[in-house]
Amino acid sequence: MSLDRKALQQQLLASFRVEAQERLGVLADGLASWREEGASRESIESLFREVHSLKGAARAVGLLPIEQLCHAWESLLGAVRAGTLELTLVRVELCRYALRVVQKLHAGQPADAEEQAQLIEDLEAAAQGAAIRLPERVAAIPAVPAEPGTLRVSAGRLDALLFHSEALLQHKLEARAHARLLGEHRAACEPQRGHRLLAGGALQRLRESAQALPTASQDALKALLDHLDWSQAQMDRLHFEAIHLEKAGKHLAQSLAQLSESLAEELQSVLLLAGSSLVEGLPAMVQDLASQAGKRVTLQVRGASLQVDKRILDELRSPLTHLLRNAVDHGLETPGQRAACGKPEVGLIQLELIQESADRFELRVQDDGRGLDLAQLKAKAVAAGMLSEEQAQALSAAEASKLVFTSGLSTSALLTDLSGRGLGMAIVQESVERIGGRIELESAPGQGVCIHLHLPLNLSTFRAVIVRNAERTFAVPALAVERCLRLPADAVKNQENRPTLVFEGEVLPVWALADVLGLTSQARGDGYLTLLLLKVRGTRFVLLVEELLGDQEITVKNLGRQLLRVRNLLGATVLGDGQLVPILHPGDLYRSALATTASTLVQAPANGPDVRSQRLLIAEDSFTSRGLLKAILEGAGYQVATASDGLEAWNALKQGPFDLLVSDVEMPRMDGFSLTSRIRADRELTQLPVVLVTALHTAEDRARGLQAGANAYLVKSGFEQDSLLDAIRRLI
Amino acid sequence: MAEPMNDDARWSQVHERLAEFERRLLDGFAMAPEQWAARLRERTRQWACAEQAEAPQDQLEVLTFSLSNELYAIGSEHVAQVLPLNQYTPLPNTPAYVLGIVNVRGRIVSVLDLRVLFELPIGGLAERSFLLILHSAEMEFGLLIDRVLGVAQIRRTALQGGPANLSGVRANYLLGVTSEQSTVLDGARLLGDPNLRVLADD
Repeated sequence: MSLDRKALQQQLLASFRVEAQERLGVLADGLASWREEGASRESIESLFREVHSLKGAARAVGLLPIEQLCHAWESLLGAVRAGTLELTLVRVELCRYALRVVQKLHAGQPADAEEQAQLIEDLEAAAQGAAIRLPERVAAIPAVPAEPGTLRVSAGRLDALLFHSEALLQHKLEARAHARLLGEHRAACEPQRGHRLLAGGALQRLRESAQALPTASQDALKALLDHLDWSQAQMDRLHFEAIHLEKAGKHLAQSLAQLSESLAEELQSVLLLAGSSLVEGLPAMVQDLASQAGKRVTLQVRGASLQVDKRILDELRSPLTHLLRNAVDHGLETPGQRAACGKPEVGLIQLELIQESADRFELRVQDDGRGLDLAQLKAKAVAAGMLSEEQAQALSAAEASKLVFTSGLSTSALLTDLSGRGLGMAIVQESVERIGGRIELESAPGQGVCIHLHLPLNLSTFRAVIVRNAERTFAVPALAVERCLRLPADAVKNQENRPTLVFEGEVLPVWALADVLGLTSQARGDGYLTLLLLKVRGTRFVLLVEELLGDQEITVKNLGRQLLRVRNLLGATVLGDGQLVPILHPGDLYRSALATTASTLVQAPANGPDVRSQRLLIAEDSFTSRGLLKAILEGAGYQVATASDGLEAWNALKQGPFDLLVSDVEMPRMDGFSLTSRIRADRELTQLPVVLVTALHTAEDRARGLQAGANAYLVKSGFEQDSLLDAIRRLI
Repeated sequence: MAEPMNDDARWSQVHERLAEFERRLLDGFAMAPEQWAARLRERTRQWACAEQAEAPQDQLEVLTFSLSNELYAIGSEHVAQVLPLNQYTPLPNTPAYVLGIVNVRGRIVSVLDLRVLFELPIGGLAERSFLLILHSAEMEFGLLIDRVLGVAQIRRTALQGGPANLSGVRANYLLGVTSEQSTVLDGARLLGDPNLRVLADD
């Protein structure tokens, strides 16, 4: 204990040094301005406060000489502040003298006791209004203080810096995506060179044989060939530019990446705070709680000097508060009960931070109270319908103590304002897992509970696997993803009507992600399944997704103030291309999966991949309308793809087989009429049924639509889903 | 016999009236001073009255917008900004009135669909939609709207209670209906309603 006190003293002294340095700086500046332009009220007030605070700080660390000096100095300034004394030149000089002496003391120079005593006397005399004589010998000017090596910055500023670093990371990701696009663009330019070589010979022959043609044709051909030459030169120029742009883009992306990474690294170290900042205020809180509950407690804190990432400490504050509340409210007994069990009357709660490895630490909260009441926990679980009697009986002690983490269960008989709402431990677990930690609990009846939080020391960048499912993109935290698998469809077998997969000798349950999230899933294509093997709290399970888009670094954002907590979601992130993507919550997914009854996987083998529903394409520039049309058509059982304008629709049609096109008329780049005409003019697509859906409803427009080759023309204002579905059914 | 006299009399009448016109012309069609003063007093009284009626605390500055062919208004102090809604990300496992989320300068804001909340028909396609971002000290979300119509001043006293046929949910968030038949939403109520916060309790 005495050792601890010594360490504390050292710490206090260090912080006093920083504080005094600052205050002396303010004092010196303030006094300097006094000499030049007299003293303003605010200036006197400010100096008075500085001296007063300095006195207080000196007293706190037991630096008696500075405290006494400041005390006398404060009396003088107080009299000046109150207006009972005027600020004469002599008094200002006395203040400057006092400052020099304090500076000297602070700098650790040998103290001259006599000089100090004299100064204190002078200051006090001056405060009484007595005339004083300035000492003749000028105090030695203290050595110029070394450049301040440390700065104190408020935690709020760090948050702002963090926000910017995160924004920079976002830009880095965007730049990388752009650089990739530029690369693709450049690559798309390459083939033209090869083509030109092939065509070169033919052109040459054409040029030579042109002589034989009649003059008129010769001129026309020459003009055409010239145009071709010009076009090729133009193409070369564009190709060349594309190469340059790609280089510049890559360069920019790289410098941004470097900048962002070094900033993140620097911040990482700036953000390391001592664990004591987490513990601040907690001893007082624990005492308050205990006295409210009529209990007596000592809180022991150990290892608080461990340096931990501020973001982790921030996240830990409320779980830790929760754990301590639990310990006081549930864990500890009243002094009477404790005495009856032969324990000391004062309960003991120990809080310890222990470094486990280079990048992980443990936060341990231990009490010596009554421990968990397992029988009561089981009874509650049975009462809440989570377990049957038999299941409850079969639970081992370790398994039963895990029930604490189930929300809705509280062993506190009465609902106090401290705890007992049955959400506590679930929330603690949630917050711990959110920052990549895990929680363990040990309990011995009559001896107390020990909770271990295993946590990372810093928040490194967050990686996620990006998947697409039911036409939506999701991010899955890479921490939870053990493997990504691509297996033939028959690898998933039904056992007791539940789809399972045997992997590395273990039988794992399989769910379709769409089912778990309650989305309508699509028919699967090629007989192969894309599977994610997740591991959550030691349990492995498999999710079926449609497509794997890769894995990348992401920044985690919350879902805004209105969506405080959404089931299955951890947050959202912005991908490099600006797309906003929800991040899935692995723990929730497992819980939701267990509750999922409908499974499209069960009947999948029966249907087989060859049953193809009819594919429709929607071309519509308004996303609202697009969404509505999609919903209507999917509701009717069609498979739907969308395009946001005519040109996009045209490209989509050229790429994949579609059974019908539903198109808006007014669209950017290519309108519905042109799109229809183009389809009718195309050899492959000419038979494709086209339904135009539009806000234009004059007879002329209708005529124009039909003339362009549309099979049906529906007007939006009179738009009912029946008429659309009728039209489609008649056409395909 | 009396005719020459009559003629003279008529002539003199004509002259008198001409002189009268001339005088009035010179006065610039001014009216008699007492009449003038009376009218000024009247006008002063009118203006004084109007000033009294339009004391600022009775005025409500609202932003009016259309949604599903209906007119709505909301107190402009609750509106942070209006943005075109180009794309949004729908979220699974949220109530139907949550359309999705959008990225507003690096922050994520959820978008609510009043049509679902108010049980309005979801048809009536708008060519382009906008996002009306509402905020208070502790809440922020966007509303999907069709178009912003403008800013107007309305008198609180002119607001009528909602018609009885409005559904219960909707009536909860209403301040009243104006004589132009736009429905004035209660921004503070919308922003402060804990029922509109999504907090999964599993």
